[in-house]
Amino acid sequence: MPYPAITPGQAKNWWTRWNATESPDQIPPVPEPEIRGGDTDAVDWDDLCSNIARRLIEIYHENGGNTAKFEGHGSAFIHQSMPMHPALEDMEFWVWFAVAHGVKLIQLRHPPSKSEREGGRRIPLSAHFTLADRGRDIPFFRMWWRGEVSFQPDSESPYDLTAIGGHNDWRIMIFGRSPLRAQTLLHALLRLIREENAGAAQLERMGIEINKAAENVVVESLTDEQADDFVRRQWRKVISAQTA
Amino acid sequence: MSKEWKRASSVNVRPFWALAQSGVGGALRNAKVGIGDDVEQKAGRILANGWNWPNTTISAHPNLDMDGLTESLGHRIDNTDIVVSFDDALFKKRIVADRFPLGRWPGGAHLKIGSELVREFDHGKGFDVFIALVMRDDTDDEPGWPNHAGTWLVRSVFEIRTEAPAKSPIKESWMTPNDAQRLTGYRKSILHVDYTEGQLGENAQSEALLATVRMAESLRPLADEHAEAQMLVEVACDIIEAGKEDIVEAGSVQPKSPLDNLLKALGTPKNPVTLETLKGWLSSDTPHRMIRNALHHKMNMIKHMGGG
Repeated sequence: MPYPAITPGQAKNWWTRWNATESPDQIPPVPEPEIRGGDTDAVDWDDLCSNIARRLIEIYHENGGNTAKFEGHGSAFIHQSMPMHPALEDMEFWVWFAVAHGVKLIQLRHPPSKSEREGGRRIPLSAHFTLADRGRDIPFFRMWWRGEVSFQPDSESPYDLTAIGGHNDWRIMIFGRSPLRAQTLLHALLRLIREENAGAAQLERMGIEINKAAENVVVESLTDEQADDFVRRQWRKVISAQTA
Repeated sequence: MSKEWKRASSVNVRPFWALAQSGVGGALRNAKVGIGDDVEQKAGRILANGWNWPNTTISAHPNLDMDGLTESLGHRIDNTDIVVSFDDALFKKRIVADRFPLGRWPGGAHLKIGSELVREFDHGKGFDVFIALVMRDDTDDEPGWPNHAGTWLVRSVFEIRTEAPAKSPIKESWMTPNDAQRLTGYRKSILHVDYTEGQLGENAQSEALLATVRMAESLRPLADEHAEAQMLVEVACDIIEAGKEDIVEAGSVQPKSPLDNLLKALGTPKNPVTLETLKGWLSSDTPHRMIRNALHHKMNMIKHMGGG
């Protein structure tokens, strides 16, 4: 089961050379990947990943460049499209994906901010091509993971929960808060966000309350109903703090 | 030269005083985890180099004193489960691998988790296994006892890794009233910290320690593993903040210095946190919070690295 991988160091060197070029269109050649894993059941990774990246760009435009909508739909799409394969457990595979096939999408999704442009930056941050923050800034990994943890295999619409929540709720709060690793709890939270139409500030507060309450709880042991009760209790704290 | 100080901010305390007095906190003292056919291992960091990951099973041996638990928990034993769970830091998932009603637990038995699930969680790098005694349903118990489903009465963590842990830059030990008298001049002091000022960046002769922390022995029965680890995180945050000037002034990292150890402990030995990153945290508006965040998920690791 061979797959390509490049190290964050290789990616950083590649990015540094790109950053030094005259124009952002002058993209340096992709570093030579290391081929890992066994040699049976070959997947054509170049073909697969370039198709996924191309389709994601279409999804981006179909959603009018709205990043929240794009990441919601894109997460379901990429999760559906990737095979279950040991490559996905190797973060350096995702680095390869970003560098070898992700440049256009990343330029679209993570262009330099206004202040970065004023400071002379013309290309996306290197974090989107490396493992600077445990991979969460590589959009392909972030979206695949979002699809993976929100996926409900037994449901009629298994990606029903995937589209809920803003991209920063996922990138910062859900990725970073360890109690939400328990999928029953995460799913309960997503249902609550949908029902209450919770805003970003409320969710930030909610994340803190969940963390505090979860210190005494083995959150993964909760049933769906208990998890709903758990998030409801925290939600009441958020609401009463607001009205106090 | 040493610097002494006392801290005043609070740590999150479990409000279950009746549970704390019941002695249930020590119930998993002898719990062990077995990897494949290997000898069972105690809680803490388990180094599992070169084992055949894809085909490995995990067995959880709570080794409970059932008579003692029946006495201390009483009727509550029927609302308690033994829960074995897995934590996957890569894909950010936690699941219950197995659970069993405590009231029906045959003393020396174990729970075996199949290789398929292990395979899903290990990613070839290892993962955390928790054994816990957990409340099954909500109850309306007396004050001092937990009431909510999922609350753990006691838990223990086993960190299965393929990489050796960083050596702790903070040494933790207990102090007797005599030690307290000698070190602080007051027999009932509960905390004493030695911070080796000015030597942070120096290549140490023996143990490259950032600080030595001593806690009163009288706290020992009250401090379960979790509370103790959390207290240590708070102490570590203070120590690192106290060393701010030394850290900010350090131009490079001397191998085997306390600073070198600290950066490795904040990251991993192979991927230490960089000096620039740590300087960034310290010069932020909320240095304590930044450091705590970095240490928090390593809470148990720090506990086990502490030794002493």
